Amino acid sequence: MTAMKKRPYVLVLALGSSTLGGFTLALLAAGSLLLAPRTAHAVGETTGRITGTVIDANTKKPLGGLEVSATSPALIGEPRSATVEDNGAFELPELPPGVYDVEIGFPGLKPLRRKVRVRQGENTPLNISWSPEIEKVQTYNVIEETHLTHPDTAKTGTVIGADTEARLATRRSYQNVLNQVAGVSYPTDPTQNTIPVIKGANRLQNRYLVDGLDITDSVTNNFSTQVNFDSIGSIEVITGGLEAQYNALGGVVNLITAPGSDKLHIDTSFYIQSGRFGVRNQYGSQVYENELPLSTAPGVNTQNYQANFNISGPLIKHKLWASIGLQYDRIESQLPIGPPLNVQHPARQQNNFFPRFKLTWAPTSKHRFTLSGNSDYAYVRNRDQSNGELPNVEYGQNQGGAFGVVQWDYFHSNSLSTQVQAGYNFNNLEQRPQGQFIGGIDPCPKPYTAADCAYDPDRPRHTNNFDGSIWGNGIPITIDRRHTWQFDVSVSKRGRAAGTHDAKFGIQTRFAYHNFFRHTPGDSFLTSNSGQPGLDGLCDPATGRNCNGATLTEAPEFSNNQFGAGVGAYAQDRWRITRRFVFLPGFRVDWGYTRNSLGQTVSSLVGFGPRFGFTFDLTGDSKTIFSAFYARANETLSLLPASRADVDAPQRRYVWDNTQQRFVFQSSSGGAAGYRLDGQHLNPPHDDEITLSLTREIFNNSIAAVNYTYKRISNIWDAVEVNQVWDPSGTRVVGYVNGQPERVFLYTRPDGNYRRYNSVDFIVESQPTKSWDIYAAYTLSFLEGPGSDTVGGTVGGGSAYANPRQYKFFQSGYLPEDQRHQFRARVSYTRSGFLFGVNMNYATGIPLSKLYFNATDGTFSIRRSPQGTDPAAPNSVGNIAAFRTPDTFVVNVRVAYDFNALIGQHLTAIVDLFNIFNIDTPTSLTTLDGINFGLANRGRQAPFRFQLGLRYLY
Amino acid sequence: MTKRHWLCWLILAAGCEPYPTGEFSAGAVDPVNFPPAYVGVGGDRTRPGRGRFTEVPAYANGNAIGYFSFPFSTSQIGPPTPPTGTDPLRLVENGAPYSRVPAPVAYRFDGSTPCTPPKNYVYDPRTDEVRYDQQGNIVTVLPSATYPTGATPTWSYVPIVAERVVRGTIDCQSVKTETTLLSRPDLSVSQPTGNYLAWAQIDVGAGVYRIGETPGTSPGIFTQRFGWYDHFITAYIDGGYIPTTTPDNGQTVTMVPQTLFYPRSNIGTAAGAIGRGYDVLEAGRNDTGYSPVCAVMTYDAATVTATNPTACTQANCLPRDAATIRARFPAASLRPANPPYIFCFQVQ
Repeated sequence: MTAMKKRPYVLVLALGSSTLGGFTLALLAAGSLLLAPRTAHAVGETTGRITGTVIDANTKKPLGGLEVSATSPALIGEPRSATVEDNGAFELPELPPGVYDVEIGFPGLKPLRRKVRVRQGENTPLNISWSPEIEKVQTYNVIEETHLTHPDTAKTGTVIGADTEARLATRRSYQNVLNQVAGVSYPTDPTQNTIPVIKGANRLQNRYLVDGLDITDSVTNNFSTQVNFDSIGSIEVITGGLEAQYNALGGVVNLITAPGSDKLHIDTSFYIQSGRFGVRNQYGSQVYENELPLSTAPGVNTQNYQANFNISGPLIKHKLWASIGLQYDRIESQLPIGPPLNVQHPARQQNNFFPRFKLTWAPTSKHRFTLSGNSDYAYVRNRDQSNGELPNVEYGQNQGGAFGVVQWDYFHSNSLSTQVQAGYNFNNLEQRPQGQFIGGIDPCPKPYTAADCAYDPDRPRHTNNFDGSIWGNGIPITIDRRHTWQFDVSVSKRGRAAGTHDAKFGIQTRFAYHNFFRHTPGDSFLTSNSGQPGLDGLCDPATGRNCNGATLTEAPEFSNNQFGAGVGAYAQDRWRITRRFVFLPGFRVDWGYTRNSLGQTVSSLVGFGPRFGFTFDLTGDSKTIFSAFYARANETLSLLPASRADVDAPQRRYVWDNTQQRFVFQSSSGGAAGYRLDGQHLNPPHDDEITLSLTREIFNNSIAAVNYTYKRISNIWDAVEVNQVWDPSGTRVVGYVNGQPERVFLYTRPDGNYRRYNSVDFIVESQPTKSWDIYAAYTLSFLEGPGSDTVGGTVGGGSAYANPRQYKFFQSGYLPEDQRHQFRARVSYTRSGFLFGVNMNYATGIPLSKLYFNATDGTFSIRRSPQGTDPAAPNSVGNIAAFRTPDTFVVNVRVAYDFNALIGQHLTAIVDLFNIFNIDTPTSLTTLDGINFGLANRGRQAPFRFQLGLRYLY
Repeated sequence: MTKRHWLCWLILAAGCEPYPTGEFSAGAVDPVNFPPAYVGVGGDRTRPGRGRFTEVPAYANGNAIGYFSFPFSTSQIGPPTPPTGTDPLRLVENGAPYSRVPAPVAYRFDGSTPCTPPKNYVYDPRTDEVRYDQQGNIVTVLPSATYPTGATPTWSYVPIVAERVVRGTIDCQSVKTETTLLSRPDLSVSQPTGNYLAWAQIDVGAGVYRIGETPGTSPGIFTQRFGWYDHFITAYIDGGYIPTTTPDNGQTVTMVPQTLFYPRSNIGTAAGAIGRGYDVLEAGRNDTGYSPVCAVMTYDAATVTATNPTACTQANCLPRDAATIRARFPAASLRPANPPYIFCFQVQ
């Protein structure tokens, strides 16, 4: 009866044509794809779909043969239509996100109409009880439906739409708004909220997709691109239950920009948050101290300005849409005065320029081409923000790049579609001492003199380990460029074989290139350990004053480059065996290869990632869904290890000899002898995740859900030092395996380097009417294990495996991203042009570890208790205490009014109130043993401030 | 996978205990409260691993020997002044431990039955913080001093422990705490034997060097021994048994020192002082009369004129044995040194 039933299966891309029928053929075709090389990435879903069933309202039996069609302002070209199968099922796949008018009926009769919201990456269930009688009473006053139960996928997470973000006071960046999703947090970045941690992975284990392009940085595995905020259409945040097309150890952030429509739209806005628009306190340095009411020091300077302009519309109606935009930001922020220097540090100043464009072309109803481009140039003054530095030690940063992606969607039929996507992404990160950067260095704060703040490009950095102050120069000059290319092909096949199937097969390829340059001022750096604070405690090699325990490290200039390639193939099916039960079998295979400057193979990894689970409709109406899913993801391509396991300039380290009154050679590191490659172990970093979910539609467009997640991320990359022989205390090197005084790192994936995560989320999500938008979630989670690091990528150059005496006991405990309780909520209400929105977040503090001085390496690298703890009293395991930052709580409010009713134009005045309770909790404490231990050192929650905005929509 | 972890998972996110349990190693003892002498020369109690312990060259019975020197505690002999009424050599008074010279219990595995190492175990000094083919002895008290701001530290710690002997077959390093030791039914633990051991607990990270060794020629980890204190690795220099006397049937126990002599007069152009290479002890480690406790005496060696006074045996040379000192120098020239006592550990 249906078109699908009559047609033979055709797998155009893989086999051309086939004489075999049935779904088995498609699986065979997928298998043949897997004989090709493989990789490890993700292509983002940029569309959603509508599925449902139609039953006779009287007999409750399926009704086949009806025509279903969908139209939307978001849908370019002709309406999408399908015929209801004889089992009553229908599906409208590959729909761009938006609100759709769905019509169901027999040709020639008055149709039944429903209005539903389709979200990217999600299925919108639409079950209809239909009869000619109902058809007669159907009115055109349809209410928008947003079904959120996900009856055929086990994914966890949600979709944040632009309309939702327009209701809330946020920092107006896509990274920042992820905090509104259960399972996402910013434990290591609590003030800026830019680098999310998702479900127990570290911040370098997520994947970021923009318009389908994987913009995850090839080296840091962090996001590599900023995006014009008002150009965002929606953001899908997948926190678990990743289907086979995705490959991430953490979560997936899948952002799509607005494509335009058949109408001209202008969206322009300006936001101002002056330094006078808020509290400008200074604060005491103890955790229990708040503002300093009698302080005469100038207040902390925090101000932002943002201007946006976006225009979109049809170049050819129904055929060609264009959307272009530009965002400019000026952001200033500053630390309160604090130890060790206790002078006002200059403000960080950032200027962002985010242009973008998007073209959508639908030459016929079967083809759609999308071309998307974006740039995100930014420069930042006084980037470091440390109270241990004078202005001449600060550095500036040029950053940004551009990407372009082209996508071809071919809709052969409702049962078969293909997608081809190609993209290129370039990123540049250049850091220089502030003395060489735009604007030069800021004035020297009293009581320091101009001589203390004088900039000398050849003066080495000098760190006083007693109080953590840094003098002379800051970071080296680094120039870091990354290029990635991506080419993906996928085939979506829908059909029937022992049930209905909705399957997707694909190949994903990625190439990455990284070039790095470093110049250290003075080609060296020093540390002093005299026991005296500040400038007076620095070693003077000319006289030997304060030089006991001092070190000198020679760090010559170098550059290197790395290359990587990877291929992945996947197959994922949604196999609806019965009306209530959907089986979700899938797998992916990935291969990744990296090499360093010498052409040495750093990694050649293969990973097999099974994905399977099911959903079960407990009540048979798509309103109560239980799902279970197991997924393994493999990280086979990352240039981070290759960038470490590469030739750099050897660093020679000297220690002060009191007898000779000079620095004498101690050991070396780096250079060609500084690393080894592991050709023995082939296990890629991987995660095994089990997700259980129970979701119930509690009332109109509203759900309550409980999710449980178990995750173990294993074989995380790290650098294992293999040459030094330490004394039993781990404070003194007593020998070398190869007889040479040098550090040698083996780049490998230790079996013992893992993270383990357990969590339960309780979620309520609701849009009961167009006026209300509600999301609230509580998460209880536990994150533990030794895997706190990825080759120094998360802790700044060091390695958890640098000292074998620091394994085991000291690597046990809760990880730095462990936050026991989190509660987040957003509630907004709009009526008659007025808008009131509240978003809040409560999170328990994060674990910190007290660090002790290591006489050998001259840094604070020794723990005397497990991570996340403080020994409290020496040599007493019973007194070891959990060491965490205080809990944070913030509430932001947006109040806005749209003057449309008064002037006939959508001009909206906006007032954003941030941290309305002016809670000033410290977000970072000094962890180094010494006089400043436990003091608040690098900032607090940003104080109360407000922002004014004006937005015009046409 | 422990039963507790399975249970933890069964009840979902109950928070799996992330910390080790049982006889785990908590790393090296933190010497932050150690008296200065036990951190080592050049050491910093807040910067472990910088100190060094170097054997002092000396003679006993004409043979070149060496000893490690530790001062008596401030509660024994000061400074600034000896506490009145204190007997610095007393260990037991009225049948109870003498509070001014505390000698806490230590558990010594007597080695009569070797411990069992892991199968195919080969000691790897890079990865193994201690040897897993040995069982470390257990101490119950660590060195401790009081560091008042702006004043010199004071302490009562003495490098003496009261011996209890442990016998039995165990897996090597499977006992790291006194609590576990006393709860193991397969081990036989004696009551205090009445013997006292000279164990000077030092910064685990400090290097210990015998005569002729330097940090450039030796790792400094082979002379000291490593044991356990409540999960923590501790290091000590083993000076052997301390001879004692009990004149009143155990009511009073007093350490018996040997005598250490050094010349107080100039040797060449340098003033005579202890530890300059001219020290003479009555007995070596394996000699009768050995004691790791030394009463220090000085003598006037003005008659010694040889340019290399320890390299000859004539009358104008320095003596190398106690008998010669007593014979050549009149008793009137022998004077107690200040301080009058030191710990003078000779190691095996």
